Amino acid sequence: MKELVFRALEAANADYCEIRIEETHQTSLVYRGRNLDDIAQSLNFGGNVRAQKDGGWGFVSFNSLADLEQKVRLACEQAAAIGAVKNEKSHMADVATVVQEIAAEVQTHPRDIPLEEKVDIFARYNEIILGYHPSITSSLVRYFDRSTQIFFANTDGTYISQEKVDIGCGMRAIATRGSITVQEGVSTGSSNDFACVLGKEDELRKACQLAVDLLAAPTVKGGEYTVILDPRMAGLFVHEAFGHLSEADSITENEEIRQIMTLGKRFGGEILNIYDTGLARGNRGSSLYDDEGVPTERTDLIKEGVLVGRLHSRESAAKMGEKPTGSARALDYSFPPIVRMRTTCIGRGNSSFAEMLQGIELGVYAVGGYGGETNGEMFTFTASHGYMIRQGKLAELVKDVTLTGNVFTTLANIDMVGDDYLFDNNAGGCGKGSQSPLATSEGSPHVRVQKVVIGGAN
Amino acid sequence: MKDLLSRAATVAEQAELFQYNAERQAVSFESSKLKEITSTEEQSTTLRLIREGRLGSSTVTKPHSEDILLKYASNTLQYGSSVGYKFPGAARLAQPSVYDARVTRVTQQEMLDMASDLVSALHAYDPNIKAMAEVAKQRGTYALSNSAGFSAECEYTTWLLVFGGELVSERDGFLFVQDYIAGTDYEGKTDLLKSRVIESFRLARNIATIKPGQYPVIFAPSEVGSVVSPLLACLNGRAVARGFSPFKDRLGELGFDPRLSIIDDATASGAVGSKSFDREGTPTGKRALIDRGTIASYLLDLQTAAELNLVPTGNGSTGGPVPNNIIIPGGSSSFDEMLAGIDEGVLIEGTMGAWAGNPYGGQVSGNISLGYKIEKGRLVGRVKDCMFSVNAFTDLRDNISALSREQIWRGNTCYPYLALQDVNISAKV
Repeated sequence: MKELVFRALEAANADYCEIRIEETHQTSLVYRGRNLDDIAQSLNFGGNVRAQKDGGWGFVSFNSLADLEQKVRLACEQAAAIGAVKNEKSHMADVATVVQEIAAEVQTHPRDIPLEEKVDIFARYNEIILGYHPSITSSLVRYFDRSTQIFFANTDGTYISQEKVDIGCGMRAIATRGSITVQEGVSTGSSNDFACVLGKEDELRKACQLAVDLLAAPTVKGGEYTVILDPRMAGLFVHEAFGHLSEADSITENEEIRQIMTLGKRFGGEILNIYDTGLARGNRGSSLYDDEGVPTERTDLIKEGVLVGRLHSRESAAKMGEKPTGSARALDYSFPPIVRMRTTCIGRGNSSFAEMLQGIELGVYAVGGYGGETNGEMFTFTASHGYMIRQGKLAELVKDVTLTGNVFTTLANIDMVGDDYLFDNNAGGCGKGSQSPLATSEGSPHVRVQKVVIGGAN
Repeated sequence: MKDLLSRAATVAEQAELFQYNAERQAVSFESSKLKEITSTEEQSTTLRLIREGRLGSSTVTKPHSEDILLKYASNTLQYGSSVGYKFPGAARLAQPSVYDARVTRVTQQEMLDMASDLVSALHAYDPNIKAMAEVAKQRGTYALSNSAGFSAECEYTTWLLVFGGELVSERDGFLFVQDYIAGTDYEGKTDLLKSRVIESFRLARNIATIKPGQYPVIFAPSEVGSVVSPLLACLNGRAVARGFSPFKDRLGELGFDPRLSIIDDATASGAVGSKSFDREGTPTGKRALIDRGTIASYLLDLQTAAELNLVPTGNGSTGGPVPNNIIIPGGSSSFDEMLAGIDEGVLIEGTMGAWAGNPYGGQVSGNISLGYKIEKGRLVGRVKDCMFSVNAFTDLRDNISALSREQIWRGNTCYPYLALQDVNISAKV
């Protein structure tokens, strides 16, 4: 492969050119109710050529390696057509040339587990859900594993062959009573160990009980509350509310956003620390090199409340005069790499959960994360369930808890950060542009936020 | 690949082969600057096998990988889902128009000029707006054949124009506006797209405040999909067959306002969801899912139809039943009349996070990312920092005040404006 890609790159007529070729073997299965609805094994093979000339980009993706030189020429011609109009300097921050072939450091590789065993494991989980309570009318149990061999080479002379593994499972109990249907579940994943899906029985039974309890739970009343986010919700919050804003490709060309995101600016209290890392081995989204061949790292974003860094590709780093952070990631070979998060974390604080509850007359404890979205300034995210907080104590269970707010105000309104910690490697993923779902993960303790708007009847 | 069906016959009783090829070209502007040109060649082959009532499947994108395809599909056979159907045989198929040779003839330069024209229009309106535009064309073919004798092929084109912009200011914060045109036919006229985007920026120029409470709300066609999404989730045959849809055993029941119909139409000419046969070889058509308020049909593939003892509806895909094109017929009011009748309310054009809730409970809540305050029948400015919350099951039964005559096609949906009474709006007090 090395010879093939470097020979093809000789045809490049551009300021920069790269080739990325991927071969992914995937197993997936889905139980819905009693049925094993889907089971499949697939092979996804393809590659791309990306070229930059005079500030313009060309990108060609394909499934066949035939005529690779021709594909290199086409990408370079496309880049030149853009460059002829832009006539700008091409920007790619310098990084050390790397020639390395890396085997994945996997503890239990999913390819070593027979398909029969995978089917058995999830059949048992499915039985736990369906047998838990008469109100549980159905289940949704999904599992996937992917093993991807990536070959990357560029005109700087870098050649990296690395294997990436991604494993995930999500299991939901669906409870129904009359016209009310609710769901609760367990979700987990890993980039290096099939064992992440084992031993989930007790957690799953708790989720089943919660689903049953939610049937009788009221919908939360809309309004402005003091909110305690559990580590999963806090992780979702930091990903949606601040992580996306830290992706420098949206900052480079927009002077107004650059002003807002000026390094040294205060965004929160001294208790607030936020970072993103590609080095948390085993977490979904971690790897040794990103999809531009740049080593990954831990990137501090906010330290003691002050903005200290952001996530970069080689291009965004060069345009802003900063260093690349190994954050250029592509969903697969059919997409160019763009700036993405890996494991995004709120640093541990020193408040206990009991201390957080103190002084809250009426608040909400938001637990688990369905999902969320941001437009840079505003965010919305939905908890899987919540509890009212009344006079400093946890009170009744509530459902349909959706939070919204202004990113900057909300960060400033974080007044307590917990002394506990959890990495959330759920089986979902991050969406940006049309590249979704990309494997990412989050880490956080409990976090308390003042003045959060929650949707619902007032 | 053609002899794969006969090879498959040695390991399975039934076999189905789906082959897909596509070429796509796109040009894009970002932050008002020309950004990139992309070309994509895509191919994939999927084999599904049925043996002793169990289904196995595999997909490969690597050329000349027939052996792996057969091996992987065979591997999954013994564990696969129990199926109570047979692959369909040859059938008479409708032929909706999904191919326009003009799309294939558009040159890269013409695409660049079109994108440049869109960006220039926004720049002329306000040079502070960072404009984005994408012009993309696609040509593809897909072919399905099976051991029961079904064999058909379709050639299609897709034409896509995406246009919008981003305005960031100290006073107003972040404002994003984006709209698009997508269809199978070439559309060279961009005036309507330009005017929709520029009008949104114009309306958002002023900031209006709103107190928490219940208001009449008009959902623009771009956001009607968020409100009806729980209905589509619950009409999906999988949710019905597995027992978690509240619409199970309710066919023929009046569940919604009689002014509301939801139609799945695979025959609409030029729409991206149109097709003569679905992914499993079932002929497609046009059918009401909600017919004047009555739950009339589910979205069914072969498996869910067999489980529910119903006829498949031509909505099969690789991952269960999916809609083809969803149409909500318009009502009797014009949009202007709907607006004029509201003393104080909100028009919602864009939301965030409305997809994240539990669809089977009907609850839809989201941030209003692009919405305007209505005062005495006029749009007076953009509302910010607030959420809407509706329950699709009850609000589409009891709270519809009007559906507009005007409808807008976007991709595979065609929706009117939808006005609801007494929608909960949460905002900072």
